[in-house]
Amino acid sequence: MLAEQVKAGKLPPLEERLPKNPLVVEPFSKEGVFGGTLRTGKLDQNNNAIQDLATSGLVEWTKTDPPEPQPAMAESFEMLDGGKTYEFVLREGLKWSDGEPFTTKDLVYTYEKVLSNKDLTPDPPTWFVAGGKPGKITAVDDRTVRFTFDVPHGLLLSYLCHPAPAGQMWHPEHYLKQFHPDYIGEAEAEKRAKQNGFDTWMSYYEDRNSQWLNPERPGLGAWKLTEAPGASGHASAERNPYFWKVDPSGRQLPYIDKISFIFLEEDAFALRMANGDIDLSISAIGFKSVPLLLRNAEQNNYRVLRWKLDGSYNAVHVNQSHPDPVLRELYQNIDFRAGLSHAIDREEINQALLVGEGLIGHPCGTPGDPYYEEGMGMRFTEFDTDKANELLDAAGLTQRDDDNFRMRPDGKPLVLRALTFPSGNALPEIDVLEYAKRHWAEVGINMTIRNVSRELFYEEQQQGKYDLCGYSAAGYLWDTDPLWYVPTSVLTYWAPLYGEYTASGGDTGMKPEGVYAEIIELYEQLKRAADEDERLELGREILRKHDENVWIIGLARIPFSPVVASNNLVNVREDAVFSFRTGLPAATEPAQLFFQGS
Amino acid sequence: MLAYVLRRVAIMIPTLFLISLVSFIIIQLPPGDYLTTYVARLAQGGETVQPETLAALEQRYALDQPVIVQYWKWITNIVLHLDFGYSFEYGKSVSSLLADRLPLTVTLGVVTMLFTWATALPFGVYSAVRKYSVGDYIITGIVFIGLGIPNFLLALSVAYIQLRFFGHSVGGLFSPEFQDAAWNLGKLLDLLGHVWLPIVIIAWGNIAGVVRIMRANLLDELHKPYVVTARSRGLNERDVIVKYPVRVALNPFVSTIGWVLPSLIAGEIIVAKVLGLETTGPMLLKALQGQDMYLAGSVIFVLSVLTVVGTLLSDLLLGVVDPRIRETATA
Repeated sequence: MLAEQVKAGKLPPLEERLPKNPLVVEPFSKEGVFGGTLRTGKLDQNNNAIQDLATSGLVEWTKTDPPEPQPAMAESFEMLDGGKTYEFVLREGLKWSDGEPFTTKDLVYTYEKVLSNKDLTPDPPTWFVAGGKPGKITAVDDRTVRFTFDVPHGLLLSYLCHPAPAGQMWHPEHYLKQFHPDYIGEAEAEKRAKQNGFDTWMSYYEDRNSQWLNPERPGLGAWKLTEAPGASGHASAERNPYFWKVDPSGRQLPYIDKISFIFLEEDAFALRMANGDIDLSISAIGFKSVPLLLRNAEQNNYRVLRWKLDGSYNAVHVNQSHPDPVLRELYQNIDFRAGLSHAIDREEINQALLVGEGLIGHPCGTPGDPYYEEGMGMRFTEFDTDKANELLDAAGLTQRDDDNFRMRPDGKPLVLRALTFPSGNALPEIDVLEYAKRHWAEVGINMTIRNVSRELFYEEQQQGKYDLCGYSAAGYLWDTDPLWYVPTSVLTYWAPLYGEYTASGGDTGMKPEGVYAEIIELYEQLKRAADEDERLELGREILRKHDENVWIIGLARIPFSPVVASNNLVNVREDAVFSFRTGLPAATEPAQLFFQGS
Repeated sequence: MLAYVLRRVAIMIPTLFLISLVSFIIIQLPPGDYLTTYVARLAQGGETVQPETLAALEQRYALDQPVIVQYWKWITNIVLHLDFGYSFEYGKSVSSLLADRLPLTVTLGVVTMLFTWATALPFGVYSAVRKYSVGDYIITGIVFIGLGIPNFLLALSVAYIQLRFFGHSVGGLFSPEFQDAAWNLGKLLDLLGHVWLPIVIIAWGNIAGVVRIMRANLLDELHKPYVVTARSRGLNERDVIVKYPVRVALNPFVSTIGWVLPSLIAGEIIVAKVLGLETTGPMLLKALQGQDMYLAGSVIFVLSVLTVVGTLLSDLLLGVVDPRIRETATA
């Protein structure tokens, strides 16, 4: 495809397009042939679908489980000063997809004009903060750049490897300065925004900077957008002629020329896949479509891969920061949670909803996660009604009402309100909770389920007044997304008000004490731990607390995450981890995928 | 006549104003605002938003101001600049979103409506004239299936049958191989191969209603003295029916044209969603769910304009088709 353009004089020859020492990618099975269009899609066109395919980080994850940071656009990186400074050296001759050089100037632009601009970035992104303060980015020369922080930043490399933000983390100065008030003046920037239908220059700037909405924005990934999603229900991308990865023979990647995205509602999308109309789908399907996909796989020339799980739990988060002191004391009592867990007949749920194939355990990392230790998350999982009753009695729930339901220790009726919504992860939440409701009624616990829309769920969740929350939990590489295990945000479903307290620096929420304060402190130390062993030990300590305390009770877990790949598509990893934090398809290095016989 | 039209138009303005105000307020009634949706979506992707960012966004989108101030800003921009505001969810101006989707929506809607009437009116006439015949029962049976089964379920079932037995790709308007192609005969045929399904599915439910109304109206008319008179003058049966009672029986349809326009824009949301059609229906649904108020408000505003204009049109049309109404109006 590109050779013709070079011949026609539209593109410089390959040597001028590649950096001096491009990154050599080892294919998973064999070197490929060029050409073809990858057909893929998503359920919602407002979700950036190109970011996981066309990643471009200074550093990137190795394609292993668990992954390690490896050089990418930076040919080398070094931690200095005990983790307070990181130095990256960019490959020589890196270029944006329009042929302009990508240098440290773009990184400094991003730091000075975007990350330090209060209008564009009211609050610095998590990856750029250490010890509560944003870092600094300074250029040593054209290719060498330094990130400096006040305190050691143990997670910087993990954040930079995260494929989703990496695609548009660095802003092309030469293109974006025409929208930035520092270059054209505030009035002009506002005027251009208004002319293009945006209410503020920030909205316009963000739109122009989006690799998903603006085909003109130069990119650094393997493909770049050619048609933005819109009324057609479709988007497309084509190869970036300046991409900086090559195969072992020195041929420029990606092998595949084009990507075609479609956006459909889940049922229609599953039918398309079953018809063999999708070459690769990592993320768009729920578990319920698996039987349909398996039935049509052979006939329609595709395969259903079983990727390893990240989270995908059906779990109940027990609100540890409940505003009612009596309930809070009850929910913080381990006997209560252990009693609830013992009362669940997990085998019944497993047989009924997952034909006995499901996994059992509480969210506590996941096998494959570097922080996970063998055997975690298995406490109180055996079904034992007597033991459950004993433990609930021990938790002070001895009085019963006329319907034989247990009452609160202070004699008021006890009704556990479980808040949930159809999240699309794992099994439908409501299906599993209905089983829990019945199992708990057996031991005298009265539960009501409030299944609401996603928007209402988050509205209510943020107030932190619910008793239980039916949702999933992450498992893999959770250190860069800590809210699942550490109360760092109001979205820490098992302790929202403690999380809010941490996030707001003590302004709002509820002050955590005891073990809750302890794990928050452990995580603070983890963030600053520049030494990997130390960091791993701190993370394991946090998971051990979860293992002992079971704040999140696992009810069911699907056995694998389904991934659909065409039989013609070569070099797809058979069993990567299905994780947002390794970029879903990015885990199989999309640039080295190719079509057999194309 | 001109005075009548002008008077009607004058009444429309306060009506539209009230509709837009009430709908704007209702959209904002549920707890929370667009930022809740924003937080929810980021949370789904494993990101969190810091309180400072939320406060800044609130200010940027003017969500911190009272509803009435937001409304005033929005409606004056529409009236003065035809600027419908900004959709948070899509990150684009509402005008561009509408411009993007309205052509497909209106085309699909008009074709569906024509198809509905083209099938339903003859069916209705037939089943009235041949009341209780085998044909009447068959037609009634088929149309009742369309009325009885929710049409999104029909859409899914037909889509599955297409997949299972014909290997036809489902959803959207094009097969994958034509998605990127330039327009040519193949692409056109491919479009026709996809587009008939939503048209037939959406029309099916409507056909039932039209057939039944037509049948009932016509049955009322068929035995009136003017029909007997026409027959006795020796007109052939076909002319008798088409020229006189059918024209009278059409009145209810003409007077409901006003409702057809809005149903073109917002109708059949679920079918469009199931079949992956990017029409304004699913967009309105998403906007309402996410409290993307300028987008939702604008779609509803456009709908109301179409409804009042449609009502006026149907009143005028009634005068055209029915001399009795025309005479009374001018008398």
